Amino acid sequence: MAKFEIKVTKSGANYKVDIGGVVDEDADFNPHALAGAQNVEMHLGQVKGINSCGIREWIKWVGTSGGAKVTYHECPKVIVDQINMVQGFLPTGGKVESFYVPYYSDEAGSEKTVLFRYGQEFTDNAVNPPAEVKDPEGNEMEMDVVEAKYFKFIKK
Amino acid sequence: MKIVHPESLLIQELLKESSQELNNGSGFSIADAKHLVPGVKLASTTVVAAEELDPSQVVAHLLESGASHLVQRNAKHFAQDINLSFGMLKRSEDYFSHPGSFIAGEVEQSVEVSFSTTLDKPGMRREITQFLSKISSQNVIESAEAVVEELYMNAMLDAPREAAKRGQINCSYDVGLHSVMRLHLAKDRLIVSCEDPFGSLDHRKFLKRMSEVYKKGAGESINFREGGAGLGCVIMFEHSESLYLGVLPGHKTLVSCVIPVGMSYRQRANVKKSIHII
Repeated sequence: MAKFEIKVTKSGANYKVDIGGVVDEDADFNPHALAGAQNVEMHLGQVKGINSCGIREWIKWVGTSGGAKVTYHECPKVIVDQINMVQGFLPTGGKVESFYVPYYSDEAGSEKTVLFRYGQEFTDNAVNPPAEVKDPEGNEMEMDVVEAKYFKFIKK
Repeated sequence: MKIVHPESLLIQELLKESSQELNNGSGFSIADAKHLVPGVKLASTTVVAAEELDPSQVVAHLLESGASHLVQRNAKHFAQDINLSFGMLKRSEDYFSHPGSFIAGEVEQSVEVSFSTTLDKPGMRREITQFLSKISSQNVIESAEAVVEELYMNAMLDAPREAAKRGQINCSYDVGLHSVMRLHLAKDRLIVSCEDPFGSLDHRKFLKRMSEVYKKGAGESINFREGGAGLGCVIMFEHSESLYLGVLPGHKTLVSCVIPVGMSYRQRANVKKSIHII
């Protein structure tokens, strides 16, 4: 369970944010206020977990983005769960550009995640999963989510 | 064993299939959640049996009825869990002394880590990560880590604060006290337990907070003031099959979360949840 890391790269009013590790009570977003940004691109593929204090700090921090266009990229399941469960985790007007979906093989018990990308595997109100997903041994895998719950943020 | 709702099909089936297994039930009562009457309190020595309740309904029924245990029917453990509940009513000390084996029977592997300051957290995380690496299922690991995080924060932040509010002498880790996080891996369950030395958990307040989060939504319920965010109770429950809240007031709190092993996320989503108050 890796330590929290954040890196903000600014190019004028365009901010690229990379977050990794566990977002917990020690996560300090204060040095990275988003005020002044017009576009905030958040890359979350390295986030390993988030606890309730981390959720609180995240909501306070994304609130500093004001009217900026905020996009979330490569969201792991732990982030998708918060987007669906906690109002304000994805700011109003914010958009998910890509996220991971867990897959499971009943036969082999194997697990993997597949990246769903906006415009490809999902659109504004529909999900178009890949025709076939297999594990490294060739076993067929199925989406391992309750679709109504996991894709709730898409169908809002 | 007294049957509060003899008309209950659920209880009739339970008795028909498993009356031999309910050997701890003598002197206690069993009720059916479906037949509970709003506003009518049950004796605290009643175990409520249920099926098909969602998590918010489990909390609501316990708050409304005053019962201490609500056990839902799942494929494998229903009769055992009902009997376990009676066992906890009879001898709660068994839960406090060895929660892992008390809940799951045979435990294959365990780890125990003490902590008393925030400096202990990285080391605790490392030991637990190493223990969890024996489990091949990412969904179990994710849940276990989430539960550990919330139990840790409750023990470090909320428990001593509540103890101080009550004027307890033991209200700080500064006097040499410590908490213990334990993980016990059984054949089809992982039990994550945290014991703190304050005994300040208020069951009713805990359940009321869960109810508030379920009713208002997590985003609307977050505590933005000092202390915890107030979501940990629901986060733990959402990751678990059952939740055990044990308190020896002023002395010890022992919270345990049971996570099913050997299932996919979808299979786990179908598991109906239970709560036990000890």
